[in-house]
Amino acid sequence: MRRLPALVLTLVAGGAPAVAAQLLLHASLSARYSSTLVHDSIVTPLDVRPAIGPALALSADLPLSGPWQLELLTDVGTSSLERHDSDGSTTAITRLWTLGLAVGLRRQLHPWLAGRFAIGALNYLPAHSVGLFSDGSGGVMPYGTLAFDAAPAALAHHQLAVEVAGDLHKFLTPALRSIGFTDSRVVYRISAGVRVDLLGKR
Amino acid sequence: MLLALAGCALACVEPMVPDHAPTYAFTDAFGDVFHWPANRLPVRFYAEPRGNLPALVAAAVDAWQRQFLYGEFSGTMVNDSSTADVIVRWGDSVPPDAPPDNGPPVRACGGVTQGVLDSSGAAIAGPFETQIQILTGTVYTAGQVQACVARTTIHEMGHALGLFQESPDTLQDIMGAPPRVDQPSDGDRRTVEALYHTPPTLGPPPR
Repeated sequence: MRRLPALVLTLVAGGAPAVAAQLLLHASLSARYSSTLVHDSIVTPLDVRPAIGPALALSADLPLSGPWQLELLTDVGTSSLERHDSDGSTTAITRLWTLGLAVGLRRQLHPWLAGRFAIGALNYLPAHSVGLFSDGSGGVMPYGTLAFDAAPAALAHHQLAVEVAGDLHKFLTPALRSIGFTDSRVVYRISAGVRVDLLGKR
Repeated sequence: MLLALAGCALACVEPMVPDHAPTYAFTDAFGDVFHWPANRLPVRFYAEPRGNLPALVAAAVDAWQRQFLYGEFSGTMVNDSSTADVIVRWGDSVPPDAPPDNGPPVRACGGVTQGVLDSSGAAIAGPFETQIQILTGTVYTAGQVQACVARTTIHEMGHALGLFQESPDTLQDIMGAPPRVDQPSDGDRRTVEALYHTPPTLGPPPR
């Protein structure tokens, strides 16, 4: 264990500038769709899901051996949480934020196409502790994400890329559990947007 | 895209939906249904500023609000009775403020809520009016009276939400008459949920 501080010092003193030189920072802004969080039936069927909303992600790529890069990812999204009744009506419940932190691997698949997968922790942060979030959000839940970004020459020239991402997690809150839901629901989210290189180049 | 397809496949395994069947009737004597529509939320509650009535009403509104999972109902307190949808007053005397007694419930108080139909018979004519009364036939402690007015206020606000009937289960449900429990039960929750997902036949009072 005593070797660890020495290793860290070596990285800081000697390796850090080299690593920093190869560090790539990206930001992406996208529109995100989420599948249904809750399907229930009270007299008639209803679904609860977030509306399509904006998502902002920041990622840092660190070089690894071979074609792979280590990617650290943070992702914030917001949208209105809505109830959809079977008669077609929609009712807003509250504003919902999500915060995700993930670590994954990334590589170039073609000169103009890159892909990454990551796993991490996702938290739902409702603006108000009401309804299905009245007893909390259920805490941090694991999630997995997969993304591809394409940078044709015209976009790459401006350090831009088009990004498509998807992720999966399970969803259940204490309030839902207290009324009899026993199983989590698998939720997927899909986002599409623009990715920009903030530091370094592809 | 593979991830999305996998997610779709997994999402097809639906979690079991819990039982939401109501446990008692919520219509009025003529079979009419009333609940506050989405465009009238939050419902405005006024409590006359004597004793701890505003706190009791606020707690009752909160107790009912917590029964809903999907944004069906919300309420707010207002200071002006002329803008209120529900007006709550003491029937006569104001009980002294004291910590509620945790012992067996006693009938130290009563309540009544009235909603009058308009001339068409298809809508409520004005604000619901509730009175909370202290019964004087027997002497109870201040704590027993406070416990009684707390559960009776929740019971009466249940009527103002549209639960027009009493529950036959007086041991479990806050809508039992007289109420013997401190909070809405699972049966109360299922019944008020069903009410707010049933098309109303009576409209709300005008604002």
